[in-house]
Amino acid sequence: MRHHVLAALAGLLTLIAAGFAVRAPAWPVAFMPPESAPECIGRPVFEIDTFHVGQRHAHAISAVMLRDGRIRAVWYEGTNELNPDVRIWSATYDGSLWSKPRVIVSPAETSAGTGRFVRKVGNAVVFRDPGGALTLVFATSLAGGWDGVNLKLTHSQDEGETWSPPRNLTTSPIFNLGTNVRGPAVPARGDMTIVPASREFLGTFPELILLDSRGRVVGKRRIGRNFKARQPYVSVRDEKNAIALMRTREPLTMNSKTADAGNSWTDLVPTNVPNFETPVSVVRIGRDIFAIASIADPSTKLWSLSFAVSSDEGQTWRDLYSQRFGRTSRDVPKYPWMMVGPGGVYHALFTLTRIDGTSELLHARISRDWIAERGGPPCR
Amino acid sequence: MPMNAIELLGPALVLAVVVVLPVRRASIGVRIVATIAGAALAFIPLGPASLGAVLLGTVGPLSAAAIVMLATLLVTFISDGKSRTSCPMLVCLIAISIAYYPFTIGLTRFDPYEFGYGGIAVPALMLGLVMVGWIARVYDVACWVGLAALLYICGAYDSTNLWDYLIFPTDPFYAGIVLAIRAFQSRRDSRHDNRAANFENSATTRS
Repeated sequence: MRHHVLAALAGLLTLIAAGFAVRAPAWPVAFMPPESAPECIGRPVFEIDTFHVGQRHAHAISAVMLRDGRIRAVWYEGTNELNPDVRIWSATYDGSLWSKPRVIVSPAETSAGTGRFVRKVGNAVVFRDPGGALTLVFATSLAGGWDGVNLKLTHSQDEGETWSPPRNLTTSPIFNLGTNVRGPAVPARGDMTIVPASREFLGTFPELILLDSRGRVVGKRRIGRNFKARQPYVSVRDEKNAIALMRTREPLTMNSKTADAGNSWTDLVPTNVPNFETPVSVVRIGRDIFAIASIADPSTKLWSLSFAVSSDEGQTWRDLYSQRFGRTSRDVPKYPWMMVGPGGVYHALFTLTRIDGTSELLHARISRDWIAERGGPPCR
Repeated sequence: MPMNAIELLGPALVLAVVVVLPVRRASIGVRIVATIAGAALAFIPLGPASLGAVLLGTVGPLSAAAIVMLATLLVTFISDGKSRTSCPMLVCLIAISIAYYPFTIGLTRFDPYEFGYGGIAVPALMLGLVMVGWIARVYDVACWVGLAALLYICGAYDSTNLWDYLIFPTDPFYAGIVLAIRAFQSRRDSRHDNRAANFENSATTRS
């Protein structure tokens, strides 16, 4: 008799759970339409400055435009990546000067907020959520390397001055391990945000994480599984179409396309961008795509940042310019983050790692005029 | 450190089992004290964090299956009882894991973990499990599925994925080990019975 009652109760609870599951948010039907590219400003601008000389390892910068026109950048910094002394730092750029960097997230705060012991923090991505708050999604771990990280999330209602206690995000079925972030988040219809991510535990592949307006993970999609691609950088063309460019162990950037707002993706195909196992960053200029990638000269092994344009949705690229950094093969400009900033100028933020393990954070300002002058999409 | 007491239930059960295991043949009082002390370790800060927070930070909250199996083990240790996880539950856990985990690590483009975020696929599987438990006349399958559904409905963990409430990566390993031990014991017992029967037969023949 008792097993009949238990089975009936379990069946009833499962039916109620089914009701919840059926009403769960579906994958969004459209991306939010991308903002149009800035116009030419009447003069070519191409300036690169160091804005933060880390005495230690500062890396993986991301940024967001604030309501008052400033740019807020976040990055991680410590003696080396995934060391327990790494913290997430932030600074703002007001159009002429960078503020003094300060710590915004530490492992201790993250442990306190999540109730889960965290010893290390890593990559962070900052974006504005559908409610208007700044959101920071960042990698944390207790032990091990990048395959042992998982994600946490924190909000700021005051443009990044103060942050809420972090929350845990469960994104993986195996001990919630191996999900990392790098590329910018993509807003979608229905107050959703799509966060490009990579799984790097027991297999490496790029995927998308769907966050609802409350910052809960409510969906996932796998972009592809071949080539061990990771760190997808999604560039939205319109409400349905986008491309994702990914780094791989192959010496080429991989490309995948979606025509249904990220619900499904084409197989990954190699592009002609020789990225040497580093991520690329892109922005749209009308129907063209402007990209920054790290490339190494095969003969000298010296690294450059390459600026290129694609007119066929990222499949082939033509170089506009490349700039060499450093004097040894261990000086690597990498992890560019590009966005449109105040004054209709593109801002590219990136790391220059040094042979001694320290790094600098650099800031490039690039106008449409300069891109047009170099053979990119012309000014109208 | 804010604690989600429900998330800490799994670590508390793990620690209780670990602490009571060495004293499982002691008096009932000692076993109860050991169980309470083990469970308390999940909540009491030791250095920068409690053991519960460390376990949650390492592997996350446990599934309903793991909670039911640990609770069964704990009850056995405390009460000298004979209750044990049923074979249908252990076999179901292994079968689901074989069909589920390999695809979640990127063997193909298909990702069954996505189904846990919504739709009827995982609830349908759960109803199937309830049927299996009902037909096999075992309690623990219903407890497992019912608890998973209840935790999901309450939003007990930070996950909105039903799979995270249903199954945990160590569940199939535990199930496999228990089934292997039982198969070994059953074989040993049947050999022992055969030897005893043979001895009886030969004794009868001699007499």
